Amino acid sequence: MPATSAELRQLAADADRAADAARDAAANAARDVTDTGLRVAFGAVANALSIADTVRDAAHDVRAAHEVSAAVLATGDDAACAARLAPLAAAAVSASVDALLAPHRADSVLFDVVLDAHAGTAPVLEADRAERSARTAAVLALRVADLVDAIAAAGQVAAAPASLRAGNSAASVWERRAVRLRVSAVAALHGLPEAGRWAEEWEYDMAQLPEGWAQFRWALSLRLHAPRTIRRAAVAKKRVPAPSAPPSGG
Amino acid sequence: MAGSDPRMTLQTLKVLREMVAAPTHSHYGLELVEAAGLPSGTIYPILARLEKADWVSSGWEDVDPSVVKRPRRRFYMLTGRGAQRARAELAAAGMTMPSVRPEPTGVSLPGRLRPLET
Repeated sequence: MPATSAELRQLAADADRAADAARDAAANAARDVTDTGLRVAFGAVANALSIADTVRDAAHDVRAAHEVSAAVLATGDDAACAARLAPLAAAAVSASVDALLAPHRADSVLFDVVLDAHAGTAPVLEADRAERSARTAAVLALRVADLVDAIAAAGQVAAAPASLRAGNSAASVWERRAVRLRVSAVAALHGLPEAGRWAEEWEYDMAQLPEGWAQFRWALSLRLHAPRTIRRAAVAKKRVPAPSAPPSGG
Repeated sequence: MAGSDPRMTLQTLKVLREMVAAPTHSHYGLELVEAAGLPSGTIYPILARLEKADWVSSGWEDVDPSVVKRPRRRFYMLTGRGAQRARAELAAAGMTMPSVRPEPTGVSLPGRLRPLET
């Protein structure tokens, strides 16, 4: 549990390293996505080419059937014509069916490509987010380290009660900050009927965490995001159509 | 009355996946923070949205805070509609459906959140 500025600076360095690792993970994931995407795309292209070949062959068969039919009819040999036309006609029908199915197959292949692309993008986004979080944590840790240094320089730490300086004083500092953040989060819900409910719920949940840094991190995330989103949702819930304009006076 | 469906994000799906894994279990916020691996600032708004959409119901732990000397715990549980829609959304997103976990014991639940005895 970081307590001194040196520990906080170490934490900042750790967070920076984590951010680097996240960036590498993002790059790796992006490469994987690219590889996978290309592989799938090449597969799709190969399928599309194969389907196009089938359609082209079918068209050729139909043309051949017509030519043979014309030639046979020209000889007047109806029996030979029927005998030779039968397999060609079957092939033509089969080709027509293939031609009808081809666009659907192509759609299906493209749909798979899109799904794969989405599935592959998720880890990249997660890794990007992890990097941003780690960088933010690093900056925050450095700021807090500066604050701890400033307090130490001003002699405020030395002036703290002996009970705080001894034992778990660091945990108490973080716990007090966590409580302030949680109270501030509830205050940011001022005016919402459910503010009291969140206050009690958050008080219980925070108390379940180990005192100190863990509570501070929990409360910081809560303060930064929860009230704004909850308030926005509540405002959207209350939104009603605008009343009609009052009658103009005079 | 059922609200409109909540906006489906990756974070919302992660929360739903944890709740679907134990559909009759009453979850609470911090537990979902840890299970879904999401920050606290994300979990509570998601729970509020799911509750507004009637996918989740919530209630207080059945204790007297003045007796137990601590605040009450707020429990969340999937509604029938929520469980059904959550499974459909998880399947549509291609997320692995978790195997149903056994019911934890030793928690005092309010009556309306307690699983039905069979």
